[in-house]
Amino acid sequence: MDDSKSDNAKTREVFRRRALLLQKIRTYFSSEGVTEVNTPVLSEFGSCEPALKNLSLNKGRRKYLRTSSESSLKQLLSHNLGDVYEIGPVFRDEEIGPCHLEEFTMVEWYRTNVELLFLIEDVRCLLARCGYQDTIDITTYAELFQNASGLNPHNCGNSELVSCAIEKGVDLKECDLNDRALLLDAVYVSVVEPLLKSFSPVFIIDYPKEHRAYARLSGTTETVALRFELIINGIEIANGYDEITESLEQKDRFNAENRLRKRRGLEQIEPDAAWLDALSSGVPSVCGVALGLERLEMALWEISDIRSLGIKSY
Amino acid sequence: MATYSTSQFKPGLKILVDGEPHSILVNDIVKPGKGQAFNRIKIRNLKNGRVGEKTLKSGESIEAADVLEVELQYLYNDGSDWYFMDSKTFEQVSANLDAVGDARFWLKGQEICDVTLWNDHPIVVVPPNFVVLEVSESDPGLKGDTASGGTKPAVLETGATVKVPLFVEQGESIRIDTRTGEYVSRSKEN
Repeated sequence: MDDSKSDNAKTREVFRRRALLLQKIRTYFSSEGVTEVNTPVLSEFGSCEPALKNLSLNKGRRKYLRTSSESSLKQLLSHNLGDVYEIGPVFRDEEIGPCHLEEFTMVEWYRTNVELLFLIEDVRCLLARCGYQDTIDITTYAELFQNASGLNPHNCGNSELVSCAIEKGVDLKECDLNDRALLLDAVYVSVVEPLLKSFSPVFIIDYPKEHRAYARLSGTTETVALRFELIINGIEIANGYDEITESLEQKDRFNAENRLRKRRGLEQIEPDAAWLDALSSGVPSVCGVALGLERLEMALWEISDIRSLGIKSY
Repeated sequence: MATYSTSQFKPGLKILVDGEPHSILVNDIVKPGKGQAFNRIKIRNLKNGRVGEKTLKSGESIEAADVLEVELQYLYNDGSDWYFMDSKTFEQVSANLDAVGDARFWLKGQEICDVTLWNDHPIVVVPPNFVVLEVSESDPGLKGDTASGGTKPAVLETGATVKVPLFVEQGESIRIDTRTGEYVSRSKEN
């Protein structure tokens, strides 16, 4: 009886706090002139990203549950709606754990005609408005990676990444040895990530091009991707890009991801035609960021298990 | 050969790493923002207790270790091996010195032990927490020294040496905590 009373109280607190947080977020965007939109959760296209596992429905024609609102929001950008944001559920199969939910709430927004640094400042302001007090530093991926592993992620050899990972107890297969994106991840996971927990909050910027995802590469040298991640207490809170706006470049990205999927023995995913069409018809230069709402709550309320943010079931 | 996929990982799962049986202590899923997910596990070698770490790509599999925890009764020692019996099936297994380790100091026969079997062979033997053993050799205590709380060595019937209070005499049975190897009390058994 006592237990269920305190569970009731906990659940009430989780949901009341959530409601207040959503209000603050909406107030912020409204004051910034960013338009709230709602777009479909079901999509004809899945995500090609090799690191994501799509959830799909197979009733008649196969439909995917979105892994983010990115495609829909980019379609809206092509209709000149200006800056937009969406708060809604997204789905990622088999992501379950203290920091992962298969269904979570994404706050995703796009700022037109700005630089990535503007968007980083935007995230800072939003967090401050939500009551987050700590200062957030900026560091480059290369600095973090090099300090922890001694290797430069932009130009060290694959074999150096392999020996570093193996020394740290990572189990690598023959087919992994030339998969540079995976090797960078292996070193990151075994050497860099364990340090992040003890770091103060940080925006990591300038990712290696293997981890560009849908971010543009910088300048003429094209060595780094214009992408950032916000890490608090070792956990990724948000991920932002200076977005690809050229249809052909985006198509190349989808194809490259499918090639990587093939190499890793994963299912091929048909490139999102609606997304590509939107870019073809023209979207303004834009930076976008996706922020996990439950992850933000973890940072705000010092919550260690994301699963405690749902309805307490009996 | 049985295998476990990383999605089945959880503390307590028994796996083979570098040909040795290990138990998973901690299982963390680590996923860089746009990158490959990994399972980072902390593992304990079941044979020597050593703790280590290992990282695998999520979705991969690892060989299962055929490890079983059973209660077996200790029977006898033939000079090189120790013999144990399942009291339900009467099946017998022998354990070598590596597996029996310090447990040998506390076993005289009949004790029910927790035995870890790997591929049906004992790799770890844990004796009961408390055993009663006879003192086979101990010098008489010094008269008048009973208040000091002093101790003296005593050799037990199994050959182990423990510290006992001065009042304990040869031929008496005493209770030992096998986890610490320390004297607990005199025993009225026997």
